[in-house]
Amino acid sequence: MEDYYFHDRIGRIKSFTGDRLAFTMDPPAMYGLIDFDEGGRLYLDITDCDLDSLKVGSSVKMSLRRRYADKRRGVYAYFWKAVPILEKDE
Amino acid sequence: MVKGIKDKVAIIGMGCTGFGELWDKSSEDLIVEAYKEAADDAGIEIKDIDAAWYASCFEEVNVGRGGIPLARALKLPNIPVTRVENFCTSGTEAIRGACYGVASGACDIALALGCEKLKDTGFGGLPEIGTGEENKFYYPNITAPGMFAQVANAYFAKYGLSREEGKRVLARISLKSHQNGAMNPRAHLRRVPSLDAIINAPIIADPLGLFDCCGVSDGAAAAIVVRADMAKEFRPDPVYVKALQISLTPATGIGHQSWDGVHFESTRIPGIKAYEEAGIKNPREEINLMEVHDCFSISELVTYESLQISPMGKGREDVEDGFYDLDGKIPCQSDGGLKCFGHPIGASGIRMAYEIYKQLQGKVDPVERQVKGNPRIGLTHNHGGICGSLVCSVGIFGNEL
Repeated sequence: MEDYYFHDRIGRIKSFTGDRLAFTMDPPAMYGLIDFDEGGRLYLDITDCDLDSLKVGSSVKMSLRRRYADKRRGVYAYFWKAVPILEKDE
Repeated sequence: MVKGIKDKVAIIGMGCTGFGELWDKSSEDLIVEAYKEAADDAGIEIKDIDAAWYASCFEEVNVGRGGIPLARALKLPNIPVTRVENFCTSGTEAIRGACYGVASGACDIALALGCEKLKDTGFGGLPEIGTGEENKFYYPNITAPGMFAQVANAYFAKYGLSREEGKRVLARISLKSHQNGAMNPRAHLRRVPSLDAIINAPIIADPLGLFDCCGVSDGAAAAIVVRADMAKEFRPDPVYVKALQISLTPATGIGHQSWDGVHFESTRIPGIKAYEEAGIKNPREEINLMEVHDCFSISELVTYESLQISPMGKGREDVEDGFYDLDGKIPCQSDGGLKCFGHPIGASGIRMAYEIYKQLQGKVDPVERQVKGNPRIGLTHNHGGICGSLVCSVGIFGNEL
């Protein structure tokens, strides 16, 4: 079995939502089903954007971000989030 | 070829409590109330019951673990009591257990009862569902409305509906259920909002608004199952079980692009198997009414299509034509559905069967909700879990052998 990395792959938003029920520091919680152009899919948080700008089919890149911080216990967790690729980036 | 459950067992009595914020009732009160209605309806006593299946989903809230809450509440006399839990299909799993138990000959009279009391948490929405350790590290904080909201956005994109057009179709589905539920004394929500109020309601998870989502609730429902050949000893109008199917996806769809993000294989496949088991060739012509899992309006829309009642992508046309209205070709949610009952998970599947049972007997309360034209075949559907990784049940019931 060969390792396969997704972190530099371009993904596309298969679907998404802005969730006002889910707990987040910055509501609404934006997340979606991300399809990678070369195959594979994952539910991921979406960040660095406004909900209004999200569309099915728009492309995203991966960015390693903090998912939560428990300052009292000193526990910090990181994972990849999807960041929409702005036209000026392309 | 497997012969299946068709016409082997019959339901001879059912009970269903009123659903709602039942602060003044304990789960034991609800269990007793649902059981008493079912037992009186069947004309049986506790001593007649050979075995029981008990459904509850969130044992952490109120009801407790195992089959003991049922045995204790009803003082069941040292008979087998099995607790079943399979997310939103839990209630239907209890019916399935009772039916398979009776069909096997292990028991003659079995009780299926589901109870859930969720309002005591004090917050809206479901308690946290254990998803396994792994998911916690990388999954978004996905909620049930957020999950189905993604199905809605994927549906709109796939079939070219603008957000406004899509929301209007979904609102029409909720409006129809509220119109039915408003007539039902057992329903939790009994007021009819206007179409505009539904469309413009506060967003819960975009694009789903408040009225696209069912609430949680407190409630219990029960069924008494016997061998089909015994049924007429108890009553002239038993309801026969025609099919019971359950299906779980291998969840490839959440990591693999084979799933369109819209339709549920977990519904399509048990649908096909249930039609086969029941001997139904053309469901759109032969099913007379349905109770489907409308946890969210979009869930009901894709279920119409996944059950192959509406053609793929054409559910919208049937909704707009009133096909699923109380006076339509296949009334769907004639009792108001999860939309008006809320979703005490363990009870919901049995609550749906209760509605089908009463409709097939022509004994709906009040008579204004009675589906016209002497319905013969009714269908129930539940699904739960994460979209793309769902458990789904389909039940078909009929009033003739």
